[in-house]
Amino acid sequence: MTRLVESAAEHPNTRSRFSVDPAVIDPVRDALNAALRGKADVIELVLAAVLARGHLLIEDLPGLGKTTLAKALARSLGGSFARIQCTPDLLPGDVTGFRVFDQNTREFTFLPGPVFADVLLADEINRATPRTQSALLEAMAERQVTIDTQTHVLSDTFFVIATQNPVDQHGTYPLPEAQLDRFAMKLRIGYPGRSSERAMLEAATRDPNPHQTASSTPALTPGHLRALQDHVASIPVGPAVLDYLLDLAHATRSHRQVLLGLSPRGLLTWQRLAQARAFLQGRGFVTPDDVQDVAIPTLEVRLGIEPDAAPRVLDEILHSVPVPVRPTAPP
Amino acid sequence: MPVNRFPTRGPALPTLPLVALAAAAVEPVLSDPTRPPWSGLVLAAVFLAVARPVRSRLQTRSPLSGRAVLAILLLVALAPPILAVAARLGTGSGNLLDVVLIESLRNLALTLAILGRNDQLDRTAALASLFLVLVAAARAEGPWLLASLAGYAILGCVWLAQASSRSVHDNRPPLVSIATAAAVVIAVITLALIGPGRAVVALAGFLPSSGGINDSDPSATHGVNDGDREVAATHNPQSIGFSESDLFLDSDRPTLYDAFNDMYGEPRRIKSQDRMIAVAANRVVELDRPPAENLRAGRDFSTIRGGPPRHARRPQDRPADALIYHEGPTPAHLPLVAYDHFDGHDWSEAPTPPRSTFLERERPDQPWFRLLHSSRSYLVPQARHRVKIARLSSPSLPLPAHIDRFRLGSVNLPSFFCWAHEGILRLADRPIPAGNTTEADAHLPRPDALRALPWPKAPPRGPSTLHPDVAALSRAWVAETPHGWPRVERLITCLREHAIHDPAATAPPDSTDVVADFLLRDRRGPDYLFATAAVLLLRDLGFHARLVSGLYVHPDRRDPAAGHTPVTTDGVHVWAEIRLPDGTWTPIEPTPGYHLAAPPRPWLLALADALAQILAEAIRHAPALGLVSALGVLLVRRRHALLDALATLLWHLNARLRPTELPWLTLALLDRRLRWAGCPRPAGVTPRCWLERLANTPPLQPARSTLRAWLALTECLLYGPIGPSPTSPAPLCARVVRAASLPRLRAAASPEIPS
Repeated sequence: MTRLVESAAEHPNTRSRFSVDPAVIDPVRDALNAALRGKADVIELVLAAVLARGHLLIEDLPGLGKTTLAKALARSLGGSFARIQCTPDLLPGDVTGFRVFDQNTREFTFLPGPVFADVLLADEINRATPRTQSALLEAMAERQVTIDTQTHVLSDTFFVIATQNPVDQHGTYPLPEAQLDRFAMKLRIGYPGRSSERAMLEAATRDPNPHQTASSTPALTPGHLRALQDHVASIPVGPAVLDYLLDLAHATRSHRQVLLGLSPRGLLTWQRLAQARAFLQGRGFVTPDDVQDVAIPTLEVRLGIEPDAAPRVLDEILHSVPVPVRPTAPP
Repeated sequence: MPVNRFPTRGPALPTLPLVALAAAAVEPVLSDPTRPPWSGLVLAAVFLAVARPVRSRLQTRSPLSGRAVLAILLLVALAPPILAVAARLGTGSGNLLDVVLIESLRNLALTLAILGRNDQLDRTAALASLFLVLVAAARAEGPWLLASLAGYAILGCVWLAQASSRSVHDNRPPLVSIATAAAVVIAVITLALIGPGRAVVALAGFLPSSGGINDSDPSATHGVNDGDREVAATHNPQSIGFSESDLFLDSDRPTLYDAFNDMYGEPRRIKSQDRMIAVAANRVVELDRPPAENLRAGRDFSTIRGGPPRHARRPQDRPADALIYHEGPTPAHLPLVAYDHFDGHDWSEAPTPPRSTFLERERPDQPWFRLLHSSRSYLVPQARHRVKIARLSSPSLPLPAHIDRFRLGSVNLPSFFCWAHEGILRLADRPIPAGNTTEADAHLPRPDALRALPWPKAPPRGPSTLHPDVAALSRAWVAETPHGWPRVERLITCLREHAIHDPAATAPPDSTDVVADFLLRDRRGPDYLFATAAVLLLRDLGFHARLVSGLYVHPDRRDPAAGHTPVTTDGVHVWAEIRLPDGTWTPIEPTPGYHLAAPPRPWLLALADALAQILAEAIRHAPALGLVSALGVLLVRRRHALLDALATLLWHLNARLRPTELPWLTLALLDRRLRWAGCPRPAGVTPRCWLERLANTPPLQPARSTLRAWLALTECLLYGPIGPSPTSPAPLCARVVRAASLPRLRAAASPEIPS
């Protein structure tokens, strides 16, 4: 059930007349900020990915809070949470579930795997074999799994947070481009600031078992989240911004150092993320700022760019396309 | 399947050698014809050696920005016209417009090939090279051109094949296509070289021809309709070029006076003065032989004429062509007839000197003659002049003054030549046949040496016929100048500044004193009035002077492709000559717009002279120059403020004319102000991102809320789905225009203020 409120912006045109109050996401935001201190910008992007119904790939060093973030998100969203520790001997059935013979009923019954949770944390996903990775692929893209010719629909708010370690690549299976394209964005958390780390240390002395004392009250229910996601998808994107997005997509395809340009699916994801960003900013429409704010994590995960050159190339792409400063007539 | 217009993968395009070859092909069109034709290929090789590492570095390490590329392209394209204008202003001569444009195109092609920022630049460079090759095929000729064209054809095939390969993302070079194309080209060349003659003729039909569209086109160089060049001098002496010919034409012996009548109009005869008076028998002198040809009736030059005839506007015959073709340094004065006696209206030719031994053959096996005269230390060697006779029918040799050796065709007997007048050679008893070439080594007098010569004052030639006011005028001009060459220079300079050259002006028909009317009343006239005035004034000041008519080789008429200057009837000219103390006649030029050839000077001295002249002009106009400079400095320093005022005025006008577009017009105005303030918003950065950063600086703190409200409104109108604002955006926009003024933006953008 969403809460419809009348906009109270400074100007009557700056918001839609009736919209979902962006403040409904504040409890989730607060919970995540409490779990991961000093990373508000990362949390905004995580929220954008959740609202855009996209999956998240977090690539960073061990111990920076990847799992903590995932768990806090699962708790906040109020759904079920599952975790897979990916290893080379992990089988597809361990992810999707499998059928077992029930001695009592003398029938095969289906035991659902972790993908049937609302939030799935796939830790160190690049240590799973490609076979297992591709099992996850169908689940992420189509929100369903097929086992023994039977298709099982996943949760409406199914959300994958995968992590991978950029160092220690020995014995890993890098994710193929097809699977990378299923993720909405790739994030790096990075080290916290000095003040954030001090607060973390102080909190640890006050509360020796933070995981046990953390609030287990969800900030949203799955129904709330689904309604929010539907609302985000309906936020309008003006013709000027549409043209801007198309120009950017063309720029990724014509840049000489980009081996794999942006796919139409990637473009759709980018637009949805920009809509989510606009919602989080409390705006009823998408601006080029929204597009640019989510551009780097969105493009970095799916464009074929040499890792060392990625920041420079993405910067070139964003700066090569003029921001529309005059209205564009719809076609 | 969509095609990527600017593919980035595939084999590299051979743009550099392609463009270098095109530049080599067009080089003979641009350079001095005396330079060897293979010099273009050498230059192309040097260019390739230098440009290849530069291109590689630009592509891999330090690619240029789009603005830098544009600036470089503009610089190289504008350099030839700017240099041409500077050369024309400084030296009076320069390349013609078509040559300058071809140079610009060549520079553009070479620079585009070096930059090679992307395939688009490469393709533009290749297209420009194609135009260069077309120009070369149309205007150059010779075996080196054919070699360049063949090389360009092969390289062009390779280029096209590789470009096609890149467009389909094929990383392998299209070897089969390249080999096939090269084989076809080589087969054609081989067939042309060793095949039967008919095959060569057939192949020649496929080659580009510059034959033009008429029966005979002067711009054609070969092929069908290739104009006068087709007809060698052995067939038609009227053909241009410096080919030798021994053919003589029958002639009714017209004289240069026909050309004078075409140029200046028919002389007007004063009928009232025609009167026959019988003289006493004892005063009649019987001549034992007819008078000399040049002293017969009709051989005088009248200064009272009817003006140039008006030609009917109807198609003219093509053969209307040059009188002579001149090859050598320009400008050049080629005297043909000298006049000595002036009766107030008409000049009479100077008498022909008696025949004497005045020249000798240099060597028995060569038709070169050396003039016998004493050494003249005031002369410096100039260059060789070659003159080919075309329509001119005159016995006088059209050669400049101060020659010491000459030849005329293969004439090898000194008796064929005599003096027409002092210092003017002529054939003894016939006009020079058309098609013959005469050449001579000429000298030029050094002005400093002329000033150092002793100039005895000539005795007056009878009572002065000058009007007293004219004599007073000339004496006022030279009052403070010592006798000698400085006085001549001063007089000529004053005369050139005193009157205006007007070829259409004529002396009044009833004039009794042509010079007085010209100098005191009209102060404008054709060259013969300037020359007449100069001669009479010089004589009045005690110099020996005479009037000379002949041909003037104008530097602007030079045909760079042919390497010579055609002189048509427009080149008929009248000037004055003064006799130096050693008896030699030297030309002086009193008519504005005409110039004497200057002795060759080192370029450093010429540059110093030009700078000194500029400095003198600057000092002479110091107040005006200072005012203009101050205004210019003020304009440059305050240019941004002025532009801002203009842009703001336009914004106010638009606020009335297009109120609905005001938010983005305001954004455009702020963008301009940001550019003038030194912190232009990059095109890829959003206005909110850029302005928010500036709004946090102290100079813009007061305007921060206004800016944010305006940004919100503008974003909503630009990107939002909702229609026009219910309230007018004009007041908010006006507040922003006032709050975010140029000085505030400049202060906000100053580096002292942290962002």
